[in-house]
Amino acid sequence: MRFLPRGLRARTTMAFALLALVLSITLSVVTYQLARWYLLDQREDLATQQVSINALVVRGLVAAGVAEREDVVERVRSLTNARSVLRIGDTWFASVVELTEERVPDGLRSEVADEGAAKQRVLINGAPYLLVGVELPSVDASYYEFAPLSEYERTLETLLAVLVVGASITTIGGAFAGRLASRRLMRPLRQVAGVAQAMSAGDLSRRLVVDDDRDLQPVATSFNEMAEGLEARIARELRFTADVSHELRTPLTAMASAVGLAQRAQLTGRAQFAIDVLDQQVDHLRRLTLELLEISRIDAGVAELEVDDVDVRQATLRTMAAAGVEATRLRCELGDETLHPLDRTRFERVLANLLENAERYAGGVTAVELERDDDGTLVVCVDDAGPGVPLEERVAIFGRFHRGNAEQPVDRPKGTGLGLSLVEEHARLHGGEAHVTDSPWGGARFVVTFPIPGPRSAS
Amino acid sequence: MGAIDDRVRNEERMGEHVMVADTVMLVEDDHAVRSLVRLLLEDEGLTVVEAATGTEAIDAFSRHAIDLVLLDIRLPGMNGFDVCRQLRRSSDVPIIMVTAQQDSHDVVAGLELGADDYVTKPFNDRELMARVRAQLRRRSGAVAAAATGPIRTSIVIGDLEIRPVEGRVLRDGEEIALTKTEFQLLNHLALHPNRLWSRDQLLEHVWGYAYQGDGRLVDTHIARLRAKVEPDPANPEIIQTVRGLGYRLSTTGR
Repeated sequence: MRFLPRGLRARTTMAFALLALVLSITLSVVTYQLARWYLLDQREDLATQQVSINALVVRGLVAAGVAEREDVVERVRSLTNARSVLRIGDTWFASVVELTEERVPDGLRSEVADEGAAKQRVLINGAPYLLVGVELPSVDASYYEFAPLSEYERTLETLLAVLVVGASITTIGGAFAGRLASRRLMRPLRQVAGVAQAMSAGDLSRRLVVDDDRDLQPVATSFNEMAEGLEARIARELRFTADVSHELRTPLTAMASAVGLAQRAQLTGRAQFAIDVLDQQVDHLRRLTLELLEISRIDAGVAELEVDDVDVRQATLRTMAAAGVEATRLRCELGDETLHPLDRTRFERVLANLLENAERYAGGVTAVELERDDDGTLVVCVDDAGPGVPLEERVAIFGRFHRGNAEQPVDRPKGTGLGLSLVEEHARLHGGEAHVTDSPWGGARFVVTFPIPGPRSAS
Repeated sequence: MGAIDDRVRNEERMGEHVMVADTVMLVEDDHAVRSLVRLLLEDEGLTVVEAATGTEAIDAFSRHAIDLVLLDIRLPGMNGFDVCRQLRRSSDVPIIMVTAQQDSHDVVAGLELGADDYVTKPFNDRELMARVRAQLRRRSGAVAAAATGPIRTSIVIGDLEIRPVEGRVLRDGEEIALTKTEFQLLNHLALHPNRLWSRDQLLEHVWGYAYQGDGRLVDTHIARLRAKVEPDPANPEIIQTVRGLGYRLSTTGR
């Protein structure tokens, strides 16, 4: 479970809801407090007035010398339904059994004695009362009355419930408003995402529609400028690669042809040696140029993948035959499922480079293996008879022009130093990877994966 | 007049039991490459006609009897594609394109215009000669048919009639214009009806390459062939694709 939402929409919704919650809670608290203050104040005023009147009645009754003094509180009670306590001299009288002089706090008593009148809120058995006391000095008496406040508490409770429901509704409303607002906010963002995706999928001519929204305009404009720049750069890159390609290819073709021609002539030993060296060097330069151009096309992002259902077993056998590797070295674990969606030319180049690498540096290929992962990824392994690749070399070996400790064979033309880099680049174009590990039969094992291409991902 | 002169000369030599020298037209704008390749081709006993531009090529083609065209795509002015298109209007001469990039659209575009094969610059003399020889070797449909099996004068598939010896294909008696490679591809498939052929096998049997051809050669030629012989090229009935494996000529339709 995630507690913090990660999406912009979820966050906006959350922020709106929180804001609504805080606002409605504040509003509710203020409303409740004001209502409570107002209601209680009014009740106190009323109660105080009533007590003053009752106190006058009591004074009259006491002054008139009512025979039974208990009757005084009884009379007041029957007149006004007041729950009162009366002190005459040192004697206390109460109209209700549970509300006696013990319920009148000492503080209030002395306050009443000093000030002539006072009031205080008391809780009796959990019920709130306003206790108002009036000193009647002319008859040496004090009159106290308990005015119940519970009805007002109930009103306030109802009010509180209403406010809580109101706050909840406001919060939900806030979340809803946040969701609507975020959808509106997201619309231009989604547009940007759509265009960016189309661009990364190769449609470089896509642009954002610049509308007259003053806040969004600068974003759209700078996005489009960036797209413009990118398109121009890639076009420049492409043109440059094509130009370089053409400019290098023609002289190389001429050189290769010239050497080829010279090889047909009867030459003296020295001249023949010179021509042989030239032949090798021209061939090396030719391969180097082709591989560099291939890498620069991949770097420039203009290399295209032509994916087709390829019989990889057949393609592997064909490449092995071309490299002079016996067909018996192939261990194909694919069963009848020999088709795999990939770029045939690149697959064959990957394999050819690995075979050449094994032949050149590691005493030859011992096994070529084709198998499939659980998720359908094609895994190609090429094992060699060499000493293996030390751990610290295993990443570097795929670097461009990496010269490892492996001895350069004297009797074969030099490698270009780009073969393994290209293996990795071709694998990456397919969404796969290349690495080297130990072969179970000793020597090194080069592993290249070709996943099943999913629906084009944005990455 | 020039073309007739050449033919007369060739026939005269044939009469004298001198081997016929095939004529290659070399269309290439770079002077060094052109003169070197010319020498290489002449070393192989071939006659060479040079052209430095597209216009020169069209002009030279009309004046000489050309057996093979080696055509650079990058030419100033009229480019190689235009030349290819124009040549194909009137001729089934084998065309080998010279392209700059192996995996560029150039290759497919050229093949779709009717080129029979391609080489990529920078090529070396061995690569080039292998392709030139392969194209010249199977210049005549009759030769290929003889090499792959007993000579049959007529193969009928539905309303198609293939005449291997004449190198012609007829539909309802009307001749369909095929290039030599297209014809040999069809002929090869027709000689072994309902048999599956992988791209590699077709490259070996029709183009004469082992392990070095490009599957796209087969695919584009199949597409061109279908466009010409299938009643509905989008839903081919005669030349069927076996997904991932290759092609097969069906005598029963779908």
